[in-house]
Amino acid sequence: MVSRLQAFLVRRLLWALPVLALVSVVIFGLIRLVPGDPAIVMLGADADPARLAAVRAELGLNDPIYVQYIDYIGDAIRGDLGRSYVTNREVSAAIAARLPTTLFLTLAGFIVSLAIAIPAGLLSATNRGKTLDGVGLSFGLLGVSIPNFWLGIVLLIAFGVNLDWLPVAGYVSPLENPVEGIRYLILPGITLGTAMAAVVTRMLRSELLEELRHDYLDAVRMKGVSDLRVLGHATKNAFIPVVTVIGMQFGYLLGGSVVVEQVFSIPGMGRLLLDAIGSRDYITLQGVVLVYTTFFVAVNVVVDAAYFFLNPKLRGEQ
Amino acid sequence: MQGEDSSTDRRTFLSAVGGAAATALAGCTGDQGTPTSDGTSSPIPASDTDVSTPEGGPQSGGTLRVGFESELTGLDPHTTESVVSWVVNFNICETLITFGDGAPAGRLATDWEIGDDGRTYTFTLAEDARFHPPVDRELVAEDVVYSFERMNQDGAMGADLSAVESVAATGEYEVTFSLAETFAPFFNFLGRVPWVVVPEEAVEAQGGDLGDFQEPVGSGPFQFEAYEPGNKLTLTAFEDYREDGVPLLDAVEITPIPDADSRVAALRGGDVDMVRGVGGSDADTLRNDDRTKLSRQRGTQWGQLHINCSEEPWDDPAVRRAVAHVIDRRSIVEAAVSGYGQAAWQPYAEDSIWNYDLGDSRRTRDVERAQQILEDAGNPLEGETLTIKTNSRYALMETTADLLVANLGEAGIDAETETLEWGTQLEDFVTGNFGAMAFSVPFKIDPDRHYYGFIHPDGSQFNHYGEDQPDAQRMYDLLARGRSETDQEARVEIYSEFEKLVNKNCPWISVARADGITGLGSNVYGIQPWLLPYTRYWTMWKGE
Repeated sequence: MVSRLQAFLVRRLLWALPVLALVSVVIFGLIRLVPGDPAIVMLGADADPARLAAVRAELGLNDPIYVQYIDYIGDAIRGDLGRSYVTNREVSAAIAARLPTTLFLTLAGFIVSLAIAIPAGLLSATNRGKTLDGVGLSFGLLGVSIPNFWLGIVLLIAFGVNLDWLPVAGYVSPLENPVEGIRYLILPGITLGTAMAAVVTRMLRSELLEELRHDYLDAVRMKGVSDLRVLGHATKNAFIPVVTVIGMQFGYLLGGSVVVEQVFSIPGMGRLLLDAIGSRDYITLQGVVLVYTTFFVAVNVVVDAAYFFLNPKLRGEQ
Repeated sequence: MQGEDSSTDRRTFLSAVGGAAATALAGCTGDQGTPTSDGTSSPIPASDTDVSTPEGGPQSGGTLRVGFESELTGLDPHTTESVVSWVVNFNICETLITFGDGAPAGRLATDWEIGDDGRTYTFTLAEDARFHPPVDRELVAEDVVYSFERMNQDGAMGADLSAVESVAATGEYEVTFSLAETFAPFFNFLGRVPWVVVPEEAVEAQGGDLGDFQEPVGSGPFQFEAYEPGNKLTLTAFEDYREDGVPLLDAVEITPIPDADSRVAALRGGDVDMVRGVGGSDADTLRNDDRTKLSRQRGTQWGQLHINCSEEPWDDPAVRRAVAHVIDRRSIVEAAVSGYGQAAWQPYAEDSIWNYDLGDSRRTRDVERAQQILEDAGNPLEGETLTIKTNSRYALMETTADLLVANLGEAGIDAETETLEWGTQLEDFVTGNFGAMAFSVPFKIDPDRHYYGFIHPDGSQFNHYGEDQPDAQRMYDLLARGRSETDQEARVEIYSEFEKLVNKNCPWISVARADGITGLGSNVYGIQPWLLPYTRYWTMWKGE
């Protein structure tokens, strides 16, 4: 089985390489197709024309686009993502400083979403047609419908301003100060995790309902197994497709963190991305998007591997 | 250095230049709350800044936590290009002059003389200015020479310093600038944040190149302590600062909070003590909350309809004049900044010496007159649809375009907005790819900086006001004289005539001056709005 898994993973990783290469070309090209001269954005409307020309030359913006790409990708392979021409900092260093923050935020959203979704999905499925099910379904609909930025502002005004229970803006690393770190992550975590919680709740509910219809559970019951244990068996099987959704949602959480970081002033990758877009900081923008893409691809590989373990058919154990 | 007899008396110079600064500063704090009959003023009182001092007077100590509207764009003082970075550097490093109490004032310079020919500027430096640790030594004239050479290497400062032929240390505490030709705005420009003095050894220790000096060392009241990009910048009080009791605060912590709603919430929730960039719509919330208050600086942004005078149909002066009569400036101020601003026909307020009293010739809203102007010109807009470029990032520009299109519709003129991403609009502005666009620029201390680049062929030509346009040659001449004339009264006359021609020919159409609003916690005191948008944290303190 291990050799089959290894072969499977190697195959998936090999597929990831052309995906990343293609993504790097697309990112590089698309950013440069957007109108707006970075030298003008950097220096402002009343910049001296001679200075604008000097900055363009310094940034290599006068070179043909393929020359710029070859220079960039050559350096990127060596781990050098370039130097921001707005802040003059190494992009790889900037990303390394911001990445743990975004991962902590994503993890907070992930934990919040599962903490809501698993009990809500179970209660909803086991109380089909009753009030609890209605509440679960309504939550599911609301969760996917409410935009992150709106929920964030509402939570922030309610719990940060009016009740003054939690901090409104900023970030403290949970590694440096666990208590403060968690306080700073509660509201962003809820904001980020709600949409995923809604999706997983609905998915778990429908999969569990489907599972509970199966005849094998009647056989188990006839053997005298308690209802709770029967539910345990059904839930385990219902989780197989849900795990895939959870994995995919983790990737989407990374995307959602961009908005949440902006609302809660969290210095993560999302803020780095938005600042880079605003200032046409091509070098930083490319680096950040490349890292996001790499994470998304990596999450997919992990999900595939998890599915490989959970699904006997894939392992050839039919 | 020029002798006493051949130099302009410092006091005379101060009184002339200071008049401009004083009147502009008065605009920052004076009560402009009474609406005038033509609606030029907002009903909201301008003197919102709380200058009260609670019992016990100013207190020392404490940390001021400040929320900025955007992330810093680096900290090397000679290369940064954003207001937020300038605010930080303004508190760490020092320029030769500044503007205090309404007049040009020394900062590092204690005295100065300007040669009769207007080409030699000699500054005497404070002898007790010291650089922060780890440099920890006196600041001397050689540091000024080094700093100007560094900031302008390869002409990096562009036209602003191109007139400077040499900078020389003419004594341990004396530095002399020689200009190749007279350039009147030069003196005021010496107050610009990027023209600060830094020590060579600290720059070299951080790499030496322009852009490398990201942990700035200066001689200001605060010293750089730590910076975690995106999260927090900490400044601490410089204990050996040459003025006793300055600064009052122990530290300033700056956190970027880019979302406007979050920024206001952070202030109301007590997470920060002060926030920059409060929108007009949030200002009333802060005014009415017991936990917060406002500081309001008048006219920090000048909003206008920028026009490319070489592009049809905007090349026709009649079209521009008609549009100037159609636009409802008062409504734009109300809608864009909730009344925190003034309808404007010029960049400088009525109480500035740079303002020219246009009287009845001012192109106020008069739709019938606009229609008459077009009719007299043979209806050049018949069958035309005017396009007004704008962006959705800045409320003043977006609202100006939206309301102008509505105003033009009321006058029977077809028009539409084209909303662009900000970077795209900036590029279109600089490259001239527009007929008309809603635009705004920050307050400029010298009128040359507002006008020259827009009109003069040697400037950046953003308006493309060609020689075929009415009074073009005269306007070019006036702008050139504004640079070469060093007598301030004569300069005022020059720019008065220039404004008169702007009103006549409308190379652009002034719309509004928007105020800069800062939110403060109710226990924060000592903020002093002044001429420029850089907060001087060293005057501030926190009460109980």
